[in-house]
Amino acid sequence: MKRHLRVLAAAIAVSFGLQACVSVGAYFGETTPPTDRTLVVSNQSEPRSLDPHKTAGVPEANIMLNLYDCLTTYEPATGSPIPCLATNWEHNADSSVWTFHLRPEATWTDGAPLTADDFVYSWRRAIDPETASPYANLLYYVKNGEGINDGSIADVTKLGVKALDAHTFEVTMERPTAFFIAMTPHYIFSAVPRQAIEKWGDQWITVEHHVSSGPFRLEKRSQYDRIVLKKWEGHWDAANVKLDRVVFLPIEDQNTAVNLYKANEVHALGGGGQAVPTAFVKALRSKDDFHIEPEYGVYYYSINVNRPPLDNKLVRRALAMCIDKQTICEKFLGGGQVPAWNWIPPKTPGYPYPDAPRYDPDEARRLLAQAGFPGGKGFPKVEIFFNTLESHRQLAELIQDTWRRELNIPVDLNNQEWQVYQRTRETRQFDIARDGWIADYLDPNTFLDLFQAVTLNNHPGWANAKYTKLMERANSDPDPLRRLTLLADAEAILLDEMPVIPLYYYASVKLRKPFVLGWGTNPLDQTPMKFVSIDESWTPGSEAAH
Amino acid sequence: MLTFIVKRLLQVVPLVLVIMTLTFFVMRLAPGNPFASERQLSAVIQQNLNRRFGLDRPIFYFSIQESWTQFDASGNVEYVNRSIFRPLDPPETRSFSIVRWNGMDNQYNSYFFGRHVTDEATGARTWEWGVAGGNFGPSTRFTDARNVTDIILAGLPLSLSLGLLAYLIALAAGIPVGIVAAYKQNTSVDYASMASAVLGLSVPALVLGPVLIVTFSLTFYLLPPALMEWVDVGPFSVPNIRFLILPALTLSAVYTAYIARLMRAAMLETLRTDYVRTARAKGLSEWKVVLRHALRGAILPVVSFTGPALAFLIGGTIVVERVFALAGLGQFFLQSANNRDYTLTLGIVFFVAILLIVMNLLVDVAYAIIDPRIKYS
Repeated sequence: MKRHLRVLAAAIAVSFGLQACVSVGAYFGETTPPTDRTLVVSNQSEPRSLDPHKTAGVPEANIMLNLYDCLTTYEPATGSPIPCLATNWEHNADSSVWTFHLRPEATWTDGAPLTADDFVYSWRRAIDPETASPYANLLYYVKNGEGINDGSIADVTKLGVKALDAHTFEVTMERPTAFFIAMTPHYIFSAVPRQAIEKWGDQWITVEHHVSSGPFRLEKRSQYDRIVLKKWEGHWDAANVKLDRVVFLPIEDQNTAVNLYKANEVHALGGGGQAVPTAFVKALRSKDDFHIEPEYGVYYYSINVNRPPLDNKLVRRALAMCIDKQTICEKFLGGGQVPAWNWIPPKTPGYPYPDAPRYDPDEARRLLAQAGFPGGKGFPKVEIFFNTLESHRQLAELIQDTWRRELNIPVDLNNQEWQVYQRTRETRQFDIARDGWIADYLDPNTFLDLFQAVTLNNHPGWANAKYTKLMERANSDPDPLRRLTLLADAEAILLDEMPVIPLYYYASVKLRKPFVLGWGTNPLDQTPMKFVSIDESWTPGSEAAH
Repeated sequence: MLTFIVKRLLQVVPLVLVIMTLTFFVMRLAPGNPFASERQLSAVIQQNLNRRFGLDRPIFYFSIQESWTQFDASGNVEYVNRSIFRPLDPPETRSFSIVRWNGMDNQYNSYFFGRHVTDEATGARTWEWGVAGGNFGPSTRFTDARNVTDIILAGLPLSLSLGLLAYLIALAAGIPVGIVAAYKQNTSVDYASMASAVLGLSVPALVLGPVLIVTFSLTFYLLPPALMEWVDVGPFSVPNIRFLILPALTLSAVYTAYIARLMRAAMLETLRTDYVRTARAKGLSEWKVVLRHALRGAILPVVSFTGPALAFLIGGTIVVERVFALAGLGQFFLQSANNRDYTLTLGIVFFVAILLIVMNLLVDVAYAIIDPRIKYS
């Protein structure tokens, strides 16, 4: 194994070394726009399924976003929901009933009209335990969703969805859910073609039987080789779609993806879980087609609030405040990560971020003394748990060293294999555990929700009555601005209590040819291809015009 | 000869069953499951998925379970059974192990032989064959209802063309180099060819591939750096040779070097045998002595190497397919093992095992044809 690693390192070094000396200039490698309006994207891995109800992966999401229209879609720049199949919508005072007005001209690729009944059928199919959808949990917000999925409610028609008429779709929620609209662009909420599924069964997803509703349709699907989407001229928004084809390549090997990009065989890569290899980052940083974009996700440490002395919030605050996150991001990680002070990552539209404790080792020592451990005296040994990965270990070592040096407290490290680690976290058999959370939708709720009650993903086991109350009030508040303020108040409680230490916000490292226009840089990393185009007349130096 | 072939073919069935049974258990005992992703699934959703793929049933006909006693809240004795395949919390007092019969409706039996399926609407029971009836099942990872056979057949054309081309390169380069090196033993020609052979053997595909890519694709932009393009020739779709050159060269390097060394060693030995001396004494030309008489005796080790080698070239080109992003069997195999795609892994193991067995049989037959001294009776 060790030998293989060394060989791999050598291979990377060889290809990297040679590449570095042949690539000079503002862009990396060949940069000539294609003339056939075909965009080629590196998409990390072979999709498990193109059925929106049968998968939970990022590569799949990138494709399905263009095949199936949802009620709303992502605005490329911000990631906020904008009208798609629903032209407009409204909700009742406490956001527990939502009504969507569908576009009457929308059809399926087989010509059948796309109506509210299609949504009723699709959402029921998504929550049906028979379908076994891995993303069914997002539908738990809809009335009876959780009960149907866990089998305690046998009747799927009890799901809170209703077609008021052909073009009016009503959703009743389990409880007030003001953030529901932010979730609706997610593919689990898309409509699937009942006519094709009932006729072909599982085979409806093959190229010859496939029926879709999005701006692109499935033209070719070749296992582990490529998936080609072709513009669908019958789409209601076809006039605004500028690409003829989009090719998704499932390239597992990151170096291969970079090679293809350099040879101009791939026009965009990175994001969606596929990173540019770290070895390339330094050499490519200065290129104009290299981008680091923040993601809506946070890397953090969960503190077990049931174990003394970690049950004392002063101790938790002391632990958090002596970590120099700025230096960690700049000197140690170096991949564009942003130091995390708040719990909610940046770029949330309209969210009034509360103040968060900053780096202040003197204050940290003072807090520790106030908690009864002056100079770290008498502080019992704590352990940092992490799953086996070199980067987790290095960061844990760095923090171990910080706590020893700044607070004079004994810290041990404990790494575990992934499946074992998951169990450790679930059962809270840890002092401090590495953690991460990446958003499903663009709303602070996706992060704050974790601590509303002591549930599976609430690893610290922290709950707070005032916090829960604020969350409930926020999510039933009809005024979006007031709601966000209430959420910020909840976050302030979380930051004061510090059951988690946010360390950094994720960032994705991407390469994108300069002639690819309209690509969104929203923190959810979701860009519908109908907003993307290729500038065929692009030449080096012409981008100043854009 | 015919009896020999029939006998060997009959051995295939138990051999393949053993290989696949071993793979089945190794796969099932490895931690993880086909549905694992970055995101943790809730217990309910995991359960729904397991049920859908029949993974909620017992793995084998029987299981060995650890049993122990403990007291419940009211002080009564409870017996607890737990499969040793899934150790959870270690019990405080371990008392005894029991063997539990799980019945015929288990994952092993339904995968290898088949199972009764009950139609929920009509209640009718039908028999669904497993591997014994040629059904390798649906992939547990790729849920778009493509069965394992289809996936393997989709990857086969690429693996076949890549493997065969690499095979031809290895033979076409390795054999002549070996012969010349032996014939010119201890000359600069010999040293040069054996030095390059050692180099070829020691530089792995993981290094050679990227070096070729950087040279031919990214510096001189002569050949594509990865992927495959298919060209329609009449009713067939064949790979574009431009896309095949670099991967085939990368793949063949080790085999070329190995064949050259084998050929040289065998040739050296054969050139010193009596029958070669006799041939020379008869006054035959050197050309005829080497190629007609010596080669026939010296090629046997090469033949026995190249048989299984072809099977590996077709079924096991994992690294090259990954470096060049090619959709062949090797890539499928690696991914399916990583993804814990139980059925796809087993399907590929079956295919490669059959390929290896057939190749070995062909080698044995070829022996008898080439060397008149070998007879199977």
